[in-house]
Amino acid sequence: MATVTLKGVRKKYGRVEVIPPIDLEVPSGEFIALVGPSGSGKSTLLRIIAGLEEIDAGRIFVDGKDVTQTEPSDRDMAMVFQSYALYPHMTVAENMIFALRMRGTDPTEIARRLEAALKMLGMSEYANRRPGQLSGGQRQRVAMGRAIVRQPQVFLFDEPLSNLDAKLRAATRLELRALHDQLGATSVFVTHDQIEAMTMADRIVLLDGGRIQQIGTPREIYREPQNRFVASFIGSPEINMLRGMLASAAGRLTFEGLPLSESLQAAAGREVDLGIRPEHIRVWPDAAPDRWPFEVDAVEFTGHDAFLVGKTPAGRVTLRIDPDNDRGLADSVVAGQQLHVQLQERHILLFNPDTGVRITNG
Amino acid sequence: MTLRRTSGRVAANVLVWGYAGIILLPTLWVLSNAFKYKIDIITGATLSPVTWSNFEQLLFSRQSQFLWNLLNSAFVAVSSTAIVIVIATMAAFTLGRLRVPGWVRWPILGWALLFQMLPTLTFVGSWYVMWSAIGLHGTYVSVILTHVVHNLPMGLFLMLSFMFALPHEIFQAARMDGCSNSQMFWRVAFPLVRGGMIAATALIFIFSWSDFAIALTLTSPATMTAPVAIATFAQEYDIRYGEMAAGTLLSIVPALILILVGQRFIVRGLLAGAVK
Amino acid sequence: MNTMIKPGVVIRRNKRWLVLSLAPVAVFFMVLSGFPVLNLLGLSFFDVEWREGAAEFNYIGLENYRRLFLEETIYWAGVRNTLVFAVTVVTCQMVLGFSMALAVKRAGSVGRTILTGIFLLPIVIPPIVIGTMWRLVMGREFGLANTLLRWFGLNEVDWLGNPDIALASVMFVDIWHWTPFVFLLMLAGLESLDEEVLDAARLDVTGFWQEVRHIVLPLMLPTILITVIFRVILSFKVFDEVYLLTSGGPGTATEVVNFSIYRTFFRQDQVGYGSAMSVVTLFAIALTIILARGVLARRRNAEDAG
Repeated sequence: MATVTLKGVRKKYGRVEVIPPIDLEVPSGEFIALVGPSGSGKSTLLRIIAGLEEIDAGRIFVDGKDVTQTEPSDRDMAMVFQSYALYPHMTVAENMIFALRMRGTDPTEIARRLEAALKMLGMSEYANRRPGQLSGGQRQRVAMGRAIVRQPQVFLFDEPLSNLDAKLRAATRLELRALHDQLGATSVFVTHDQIEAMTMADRIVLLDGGRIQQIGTPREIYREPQNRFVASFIGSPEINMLRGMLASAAGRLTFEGLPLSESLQAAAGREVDLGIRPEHIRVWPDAAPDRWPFEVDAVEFTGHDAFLVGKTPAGRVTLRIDPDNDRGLADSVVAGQQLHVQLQERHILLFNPDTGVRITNG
Repeated sequence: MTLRRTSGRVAANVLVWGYAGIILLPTLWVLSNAFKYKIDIITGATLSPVTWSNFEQLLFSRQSQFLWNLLNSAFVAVSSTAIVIVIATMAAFTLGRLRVPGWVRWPILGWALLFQMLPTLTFVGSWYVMWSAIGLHGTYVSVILTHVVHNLPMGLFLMLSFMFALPHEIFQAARMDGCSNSQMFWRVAFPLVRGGMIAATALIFIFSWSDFAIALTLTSPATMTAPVAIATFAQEYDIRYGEMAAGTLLSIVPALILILVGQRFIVRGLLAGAVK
Repeated sequence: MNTMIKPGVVIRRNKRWLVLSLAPVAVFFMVLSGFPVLNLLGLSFFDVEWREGAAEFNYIGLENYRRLFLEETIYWAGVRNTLVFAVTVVTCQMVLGFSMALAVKRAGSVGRTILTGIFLLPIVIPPIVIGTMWRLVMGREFGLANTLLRWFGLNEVDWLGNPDIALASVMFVDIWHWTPFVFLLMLAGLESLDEEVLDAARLDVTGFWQEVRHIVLPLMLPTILITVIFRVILSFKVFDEVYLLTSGGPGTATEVVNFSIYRTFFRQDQVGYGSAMSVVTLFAIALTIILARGVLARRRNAEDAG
């Protein structure tokens, strides 16, 4: 267990700055996810922590100890790679104990840890196989086993689930989180998959262009995004972003003809990006003053959800309906049908259209 | 960044650039002799007046045939390379991307592999006897055709490796579109392996141009190539150092040009040829 | 295709392509490399004499082989030298080439293109030119090597004329000649290794030697093995440099198999005897190649299985 601290860490490839000076603290025992689109610098940041990438400025500390100049092997960190990076010329057991053997760990201790790890991962019967003879899921387990037997202070994961099929990925997600709780180590997990980040992490670090966009718990990130990028990146289907005037006339606030309550007064009289998640739009068969007309373009039925895509006066929106609880709407609605929608006001997020920064009351 | 890494970097560069120096030093020293008077070569003068007299002697004097030797080398190398590339490319397409019975495929490939690795010198005696028997010893035909067979395995393996790099699906698609074998070759395979053909051409040309053993035993004074001529200079009683260096310089010109303009082709070809 | 062609015609055309595309290669191989072997075999049972430009054949059975195995000394000295030569030069080339490739892979090098260009030089310039160059460099009087020695106040060395040194000098030239090739092969091999595996190793091993010993060498083993076998077999081909540098001398100090064959055939005009030498050499090396292929194939199979 250890706290990992980055102070002013900066990385350039030639003239391109991939990580502008960044500060980050991962408290001991926390499971943190680095999330972002490809090219956001999340993998680079992880490799910097591991010591696989040199940095151009800043310092890295583990429990207050400066490890900036320390070799990767001396940082007491273990890493699980995207391709698993197993040693093809070694058996499963040899792969797992390799690091310990190189450090001259006591053989009985090595054997004890190996056995425990094999058992924990259910890989005991494969100990003498080569990686080439294993399935993708089994290889992934060996890669985790290789990290576990080292009993490191910090676990680093570089998209370890991205090469698994969807079913296995969901199962491994839970296992991996359980493993983290059991071992109590600090974990840094890189992924481009927001579901992985939301389900596993204590806190999420959302990166874009090497810059931290927001750090927070999954709930904070989802409910209180600090800018348009965060709001759009997290959530599936994506949040609806509508650009329009928040007009104030005779003490009444309207957005593209839709009356809104006083709670959004702070942004009155200016152009805004209005964000509303698909599950926060209610659909009605008939018109009312606080409803927009809504023409259905497409119906997407996924089983536990159904999504309607259609046009409102303010733009195109996607909204979610609950097939079990919608009076049969999901089964009867067809493209071209005319409906009406209402936004749940307390879930509306407003953003500055130029800077993308969230506009809050007070 | 770290001191350890910096020192490692320095050490690595000292090592490889040191070796580059070991390659360059003797080469440049020898070549520099081409521009020196005999007296300066013998006294070992480092800085000496530059002269073109060695080249004039070598190329234009009555006693010297070297210009003719260079032309012979070029003629032999160009002709034999052209033949090798044409027949190796067609055969490589057929062997690599069409269905060929095993009793045809494996004898050709197996023998090519074996023949390529056997010492040339074990064959030159036989070639000499054969060409003499039909009265063609000392002719261009004998040297060119022998160069063809000598470089054919290399050409075949190079072109095979480039053919293997083309996905099967392309040919399946072409077959679906109604291509016959020859149409598949001319319309699909040939345009796609053109880069590989350039690489193979560069290498085969170099091999043919460099050949000594075959030219030594099969050429007559009229068809003698540059490498044989250089060897003759070197073996004369009174070695003409300056002219020898000049001849050396002229005979590596094709190699130098290829390195300058086609480095990546040579490297690609060498690697493709060596992996087999 | 717009116009329908009868299926039979297409099949016949496709067959014709198969035959026409393979025929030239097959004919070249049969006439100019297969037949010569038979020719050699036949000639090796004759004593051939040249009289006024015409060859005169006398059948003498296995006499040439008896002479080769029981009376010959120079050829067998050549065999011994060739083996020493092959083992020594390939070992040195591998160690040097691999070390340099490893250094460049790990630390990077400045001026990669220029460096590659320089390393290609010895590979692409004609071997006879390399022989010529080193004959000049190692020349007794005016050679660069001795000039340098004199600068440092050392005694000059008769690089090519001293029987104790001559073979080492020839081997040095061959090492100089082919190390760059091994370097380029090894570098290409190292650069095709899985980068993530090497990254994983950086977290696991505690030092450079551990990494080389436990990760890089085992991963490179197939490439190394193939390179060694090929270099050894190809170094049996050595001829051009020896021809120019020493012609096998002094005495038999630098005699190699290929030079023995050449001398017997072309300087002593003993076509029958030379053929017998060629046949023995040919089959010995062919056997080595086939055995080596077998070993490689079995290794590959073993690896696939597990």
